[in-house]
Amino acid sequence: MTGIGIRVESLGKRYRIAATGERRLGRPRRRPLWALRGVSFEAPRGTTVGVIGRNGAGKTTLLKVLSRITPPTEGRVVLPRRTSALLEVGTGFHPELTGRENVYLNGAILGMRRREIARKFDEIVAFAEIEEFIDAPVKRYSSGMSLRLAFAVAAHLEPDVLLVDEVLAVGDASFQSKCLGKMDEVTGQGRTVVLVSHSMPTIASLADRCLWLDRGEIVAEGVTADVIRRYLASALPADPGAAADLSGRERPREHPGPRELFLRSITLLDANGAPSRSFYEGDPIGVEVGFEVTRPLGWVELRCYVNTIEGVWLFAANSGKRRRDLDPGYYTTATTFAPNHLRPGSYTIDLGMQSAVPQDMVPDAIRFEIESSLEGYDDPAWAGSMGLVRFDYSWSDPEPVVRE
Amino acid sequence: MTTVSPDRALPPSQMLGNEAADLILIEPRARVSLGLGELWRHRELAWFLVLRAVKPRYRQTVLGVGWAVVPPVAMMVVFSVFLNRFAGVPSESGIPYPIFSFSGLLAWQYFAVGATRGAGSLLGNAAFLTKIYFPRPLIPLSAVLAALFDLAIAFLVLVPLMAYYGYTPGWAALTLPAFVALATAAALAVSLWIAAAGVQYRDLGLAVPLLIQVWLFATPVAYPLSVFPDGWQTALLVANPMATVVEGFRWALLGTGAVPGWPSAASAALTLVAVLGGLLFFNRMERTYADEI
Repeated sequence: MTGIGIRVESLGKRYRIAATGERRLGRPRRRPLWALRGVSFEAPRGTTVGVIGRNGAGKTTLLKVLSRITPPTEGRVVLPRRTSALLEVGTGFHPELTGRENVYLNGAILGMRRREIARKFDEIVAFAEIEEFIDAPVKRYSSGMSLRLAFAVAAHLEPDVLLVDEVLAVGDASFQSKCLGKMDEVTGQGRTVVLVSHSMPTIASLADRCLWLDRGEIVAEGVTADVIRRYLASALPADPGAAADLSGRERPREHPGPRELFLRSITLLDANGAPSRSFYEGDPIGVEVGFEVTRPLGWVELRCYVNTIEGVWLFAANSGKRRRDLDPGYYTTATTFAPNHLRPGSYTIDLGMQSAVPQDMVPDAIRFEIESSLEGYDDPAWAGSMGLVRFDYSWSDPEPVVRE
Repeated sequence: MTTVSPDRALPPSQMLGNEAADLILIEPRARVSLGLGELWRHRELAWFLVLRAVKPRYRQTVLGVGWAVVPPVAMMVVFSVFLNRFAGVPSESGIPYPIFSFSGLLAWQYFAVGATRGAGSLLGNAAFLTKIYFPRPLIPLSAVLAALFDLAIAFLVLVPLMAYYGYTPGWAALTLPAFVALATAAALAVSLWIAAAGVQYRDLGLAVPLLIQVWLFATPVAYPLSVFPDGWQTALLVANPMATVVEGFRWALLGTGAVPGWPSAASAALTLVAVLGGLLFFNRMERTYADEI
């Protein structure tokens, strides 16, 4: 078995949902539900597989089958015996036992010997940053402390496969980034990570490959960026087109506004002033926003945020306070992003408008693509993986260093 | 945006997989197996689960360790007063009734506590079971073994009691571990069968106290085995491992009662079959456990 991290072959898991909650002697009538069906993938050792999908897509079921908590209904899985799962905060912790005892308990669950655990113990405690509480019962821990200890245990006990469900969301930002760094390190040691997350930036930065599950089946599998792009495209409302009418768009509920100012349209324009949503690297991008004022306003300000399709906020292009005393009516305002520093990929623009108070907001008002111009790439194969922004640069030819 | 960047590639030695990990296969219905290898591999975990069951119980209760002693002592007092003094239930060949009943109660209490906790152990650990994998038979096993702590503590009461009545254990006392092992096996068999069946039929747990109560009356704890006719005695010793255990305890500690013979061996063999059968049944049923919550 060379280099196999995990191999999953047409895996299926059927649950039987009891039709009624009551359970008497004899089998109640039950309705079968396939939580997973025909799922196949393979992960070489040392890679990270991201799993994405809507709630109820079967992501957690997949992890439960991989961690042997529940058996599959069909198909098969080959993976290393030493597989550690972090499915929920406090999983496998006994509240009455101390942190120290729980570390040993979890090691024993992985089938480790006492001595092996002892060797890792200090490292675990240091990583979890709970030195002074290690001999207190876990029930006195905050949820953050539990999470830190749980992650530290799972990552440090040297499992060959680490399964991580959406648990890191609980921790604070600094611990999250520490965990992400640790996962990267773990794969560097030849271990395999399966990561379920709703955070596309997390998946994009960690996963080598990505699975998109929907209703128990694989919709797409492959290079992370591609799968994420397709997933997000499907999760978002239908593509609004080059000139997007914003009037009928859903607004986030937390932004009702006093209904004096409405975003009405957004149009992207190429260098010739024609509507477009596809630009080459470096091409100027024109943005024209239409809005309506229904009551006289002293001033307005447009907020414009450009994000990658994965949700990484790249920059803001805000208007600042504009034009005192606007009468009711329709207005447009425009700008041009030039030079355009974006790398090839998919992007989305969030718009917001305010007067004295926040008035209107449309996330994902329009989407656009940047195509590779292949200029400036010494190796076109790298065109898709050169980071998020580009700057003009040119390296000087190597010059010999003359030593005196 | 991010693809596999060069710095994340593995060093060649690891790509070759020369330190190939210990791989396992997960399949829908693995052939029915005892899973003894898995159990042995997780022996350290068994010890932890025992500690996990024992420690919290004594850590935060007022009587703490006393809870291991109070039930058998109370039963001894009740038996001595009501059964022996008033109802006229005899002891065996002149042994003072309190020590006669207590020696039997020690063994009985261990079995009763172990079987009850073991039978209910899956439900009690539901949260743990649905979130993490380990060989499931460890749960009832550790619940039964945890009761050993109570037994050990109860022994501390037996010692002064024996001294008070002038009994010194002889060489036969060295056979005690064998009877403890038989009681463990009996409790484990009950635990495995009931816990496994309880996955499908929850209310089975409610039947456990009744079962234990009936079993107590069918075991010579409060009365001597000699109340039965000879043929019945043998039948009871074979069919009821706890009869063998209780008689064995008295023989080992007080030098009285039936000398262990072929009926005890037959009883032990039957119990072993019940344990192994229970393990097979349990392994078959537990696979559906996480889905039945």
